[in-house]
Amino acid sequence: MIISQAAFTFLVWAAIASSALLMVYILVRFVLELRRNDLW
Amino acid sequence: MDLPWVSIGVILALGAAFIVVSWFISKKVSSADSYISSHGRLGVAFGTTALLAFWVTGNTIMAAPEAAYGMGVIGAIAYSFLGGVAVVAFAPLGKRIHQVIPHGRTVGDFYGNRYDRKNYVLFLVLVFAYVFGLLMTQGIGGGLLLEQIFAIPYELAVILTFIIVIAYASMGGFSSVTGIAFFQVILILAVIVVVPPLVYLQTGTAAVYQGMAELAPAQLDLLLPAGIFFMFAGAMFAVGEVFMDNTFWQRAYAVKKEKLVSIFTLAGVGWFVVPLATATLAFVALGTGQAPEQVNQVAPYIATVYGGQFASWVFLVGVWSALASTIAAVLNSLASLFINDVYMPRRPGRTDKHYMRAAQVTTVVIGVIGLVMSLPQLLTMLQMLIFLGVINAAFVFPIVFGLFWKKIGSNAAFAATVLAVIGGYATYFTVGGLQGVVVSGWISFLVCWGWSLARPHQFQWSRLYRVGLDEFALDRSAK
Repeated sequence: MIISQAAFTFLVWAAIASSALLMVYILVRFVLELRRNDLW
Repeated sequence: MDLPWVSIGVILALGAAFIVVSWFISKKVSSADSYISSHGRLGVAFGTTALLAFWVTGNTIMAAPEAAYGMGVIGAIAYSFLGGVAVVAFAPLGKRIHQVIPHGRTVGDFYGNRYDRKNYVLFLVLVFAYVFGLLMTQGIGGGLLLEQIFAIPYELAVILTFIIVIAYASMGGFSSVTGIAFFQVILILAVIVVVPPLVYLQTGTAAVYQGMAELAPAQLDLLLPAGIFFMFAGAMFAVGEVFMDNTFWQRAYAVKKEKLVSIFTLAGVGWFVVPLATATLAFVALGTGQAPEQVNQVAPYIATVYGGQFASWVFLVGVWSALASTIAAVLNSLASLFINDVYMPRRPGRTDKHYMRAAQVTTVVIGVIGLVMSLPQLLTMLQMLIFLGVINAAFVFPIVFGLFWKKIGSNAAFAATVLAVIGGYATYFTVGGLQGVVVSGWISFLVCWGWSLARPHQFQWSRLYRVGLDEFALDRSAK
């Protein structure tokens, strides 16, 4: 079963975008938890 | 000798930053308990990055593109799946750990109190062998990686990396390792967010796809048998590693109880997308017909072709951060296990300062042993990981059943582990490595399940609940 070009494009950019989202989410959580003095 | 001074300078600068941050963190570490763990205090940010920093190794960043280069799209998905699913699978286990043994600190606390002494001794011997093996794979893999890709001589790479990691990990223990892990994971993610888009904005995904269809059509096949086998056999091996590894138990105890499931799930998702994003660089190599001399160099090779020398250095930052964070986590995990499960029971009643000092000395000693053992390059990383996978798989079911099912007793767990290790290694040496891991897992499951049904035990959960309370610690030391 050969992956289609659309699915291939989606896979590549979804992996990159998800990594970016994860980084942003972790940074936002860091700031929020830091402000609440709740990091550790 | 013509040394790559810029690459060495990048490592020294990063190392110096980690040591300075660790020094600041260590000023807040005043007890052996905070050196070993961070009982239920880590939030989502530090909890997730502590897990990702250990599980995403320098080799992960390089091996995922290698799997994608060899097995195509399904290879990339399989590599990402096997690690991600293992971390997510630990989430319900972690929740249960907090319920049944809330005051524990290490996997040894659970195993030593759930089963009898013969199980505990066998477990400790094998878990120490496993974690030392893991430490060596990181040292050797990291040294080779830095030598092959960034031209830093192997011995220099290993010595530099270990000295820096020993320095910062020994200062503040778990707190230092966890605090610095946050910055390391952000660096790793930043590299992934910058480099693959830089490449794809120049090549275009359509051109890469069409190039692959022409030059390497098999690599677009989602049902490639080698990739499918790798996905499921690899998942068994990864689940075994996660369930047995004290590093994950430490983190399960360290995070806030109510956030545990979301932290492990988020880390699992992170482990899925990070290798997948780096693996996309291998598709460019396949689609454009460009390949380095050695296949494990494919990701930095493509990064350098399209991003120049700058991209190469950026990649070095990501790879070395991943490498250092894993070695630091393993060092701290091994030192914590030794102090909590071997030293404290044999030297009860000492001051907190004494135990903390002992933990620091143990970290340095283990680090130096790891460094010395990594220098001769005794083994290859993948061989060692699969070899150790037989042991990991043997312990999966005594741990899982032991946490959820009171009918499993010590004899069932012991028989399952011994038979699984024997059967697993018999298969490993006669049929194949991954097959040995799968056989070990199946024997472990069948013996645990069958024996417990035939001769059910009635375990009292209250025994585990008391672990970690002072009077019980003394009780165990006398056992």
